[in-house]
Amino acid sequence: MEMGLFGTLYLYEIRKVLKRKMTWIALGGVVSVMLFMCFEVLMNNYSISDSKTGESVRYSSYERAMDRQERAEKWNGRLLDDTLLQEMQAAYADWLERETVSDHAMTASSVVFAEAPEDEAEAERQNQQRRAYEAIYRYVKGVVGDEDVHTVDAATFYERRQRMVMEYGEALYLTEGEKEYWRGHEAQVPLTFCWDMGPSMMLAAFKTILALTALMTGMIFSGVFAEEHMRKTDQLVLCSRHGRGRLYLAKLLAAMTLGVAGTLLVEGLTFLSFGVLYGYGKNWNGMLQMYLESSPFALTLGEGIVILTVLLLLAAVLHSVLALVFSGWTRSSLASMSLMVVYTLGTLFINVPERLRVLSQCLYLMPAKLVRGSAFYDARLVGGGGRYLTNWQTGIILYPLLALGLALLGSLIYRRWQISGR
Amino acid sequence: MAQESIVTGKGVPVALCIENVCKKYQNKTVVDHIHLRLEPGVYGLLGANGAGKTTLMRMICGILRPTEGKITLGGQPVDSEAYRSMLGYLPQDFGYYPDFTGREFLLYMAALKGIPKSRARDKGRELLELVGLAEQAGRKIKTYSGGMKQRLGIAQALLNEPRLLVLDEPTAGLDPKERVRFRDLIARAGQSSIVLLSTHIVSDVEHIADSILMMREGRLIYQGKWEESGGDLEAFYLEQFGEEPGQTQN
Repeated sequence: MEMGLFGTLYLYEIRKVLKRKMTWIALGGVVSVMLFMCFEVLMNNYSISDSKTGESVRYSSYERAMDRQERAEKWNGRLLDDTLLQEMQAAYADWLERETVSDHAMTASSVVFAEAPEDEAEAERQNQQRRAYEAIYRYVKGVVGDEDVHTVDAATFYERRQRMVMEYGEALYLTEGEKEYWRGHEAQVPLTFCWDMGPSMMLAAFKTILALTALMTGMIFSGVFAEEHMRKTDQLVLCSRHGRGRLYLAKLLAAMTLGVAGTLLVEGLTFLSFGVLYGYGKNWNGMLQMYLESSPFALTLGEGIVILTVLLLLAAVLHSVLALVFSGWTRSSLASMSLMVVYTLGTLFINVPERLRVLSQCLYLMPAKLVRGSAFYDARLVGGGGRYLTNWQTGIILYPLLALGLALLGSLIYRRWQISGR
Repeated sequence: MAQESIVTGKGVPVALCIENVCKKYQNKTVVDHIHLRLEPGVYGLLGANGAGKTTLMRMICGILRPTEGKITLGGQPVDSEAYRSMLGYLPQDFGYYPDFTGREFLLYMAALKGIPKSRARDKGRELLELVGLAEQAGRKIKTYSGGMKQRLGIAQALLNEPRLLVLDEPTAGLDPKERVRFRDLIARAGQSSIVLLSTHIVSDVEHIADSILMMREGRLIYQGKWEESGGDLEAFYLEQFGEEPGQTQN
């Protein structure tokens, strides 16, 4: 078969999908939901009550996020060393911490207010000084806790961070070999501070993008074989020269192309939205651990985003093939869509205790668990004898292999399909 | 003569061999050990509902696997690409892609049949002309009437100039004028190809079929040229299937 003919079949399969109303409903729905989630921050408010006056002041969540961004920005590029820790601790020395966020806390932050000095101008000066160091305070507190944040030195801070990583490793039932692996892969210290709201939001958004695009894929491709069966067009298709063989490949490639394109569109619009709202700064070379405190992965932010994007696109390929297999197997749009929903929500919400190591690790290699920022906390490795793959490296190999296996299974089902009983 | 080249298969004539073919569903035998060899010509397949005609045709088209037996065309097995490349099929009841135009549908089917794009365009145009859809070729199929859809179905079956043309109730939905035009088309196709035509309409078969195949309860109860028997085909049909005169369509 000449390539031109295969290209014609491929283009026709793409056209068939694009001509379905369901395609545009699913894509439009997912894009709308994602954009709403990105811009929701403009509509939400939170309030802070002043401990002295008891008055409640309302801010929009966006104002608060930009405020946090502004306060973090000035420290970007500073080493997290004794000098910076001491500056922060001095700024917080006379201050009492308490939780005051009352409404829609976008992050689990605490806002600190003074046992107010008599002099209002002095109180305001101290307030400003404290707020200037809030980003550093927040990060250090995330590692050493509420008590020690006021006294910790750099050596202890890094030792505690290392211990936190190891303790988390214990909770994940890491083997001695895995622990040894991570000892050799720790990030260089001292860390250089960097934090921007845009990348932080993007890291958090991957989980939602994955779930929404998996559902979208299910909706779009559930009809590929099912509708031909329902309309009885499969009789014509299956008895044509290329109907049993190359047509399947054309449908598969068309689905993968559209699945990846749809996912890229959703991810691109999300990226653009956060860029418009917060900007991304210039700290793509900063350590990912500035966003994920107890992550053992010595990756830069840029590397982290690229890895998640690659995993997301490979997951899109896998989900496109899975939706086609469901469609070919059930020959019913509704049944195959339901199977995709069960798969997506199941892998998203089911949790297996870490003590059931193999089962738990397998679940956490599924796209719904792996394509998210928090996957960089998971130190469990695949392999042995000193040769290991991390979870994301495994995903990059596993998803194409799974897609290939599913494609072969789907091909078997398709080739054996018989027209009877109607 | 020009039209003849559009509808007839080219090359050396081939034979369709159906060897002891049987289809069973659990305990029910739908097609019961049929043995046939068909050379080029028009074959009318007659039988009441449930006689096994459609099942036999589906097996001949490779979309239903026989429980037993073997089907070959020119020595090529039914599940091979070579077999399918010689086949044209018009099912009794089938759907289209409603958002495709008639022209797009034919080009898509041509690609499925392995016809290069440039040839497919010419072939599609000729066939649309032949079935009287040239003017409606740019309209979406969902706007076509039942008869127009049937004519489009006939056009797609002829796209690859098949050596074996299987037509299941091809005249259903056609008006009398179209039916006559279609009979002529079939007769021309049967000059160099095997045309297997299933229908309830005895008069269709009488006019165009060279040979009659009659099925009852999955078995072939009559095979041969009808003139040889010298009787009234419709009366014989009614006798075999226990129908009262007037129940058959003309």
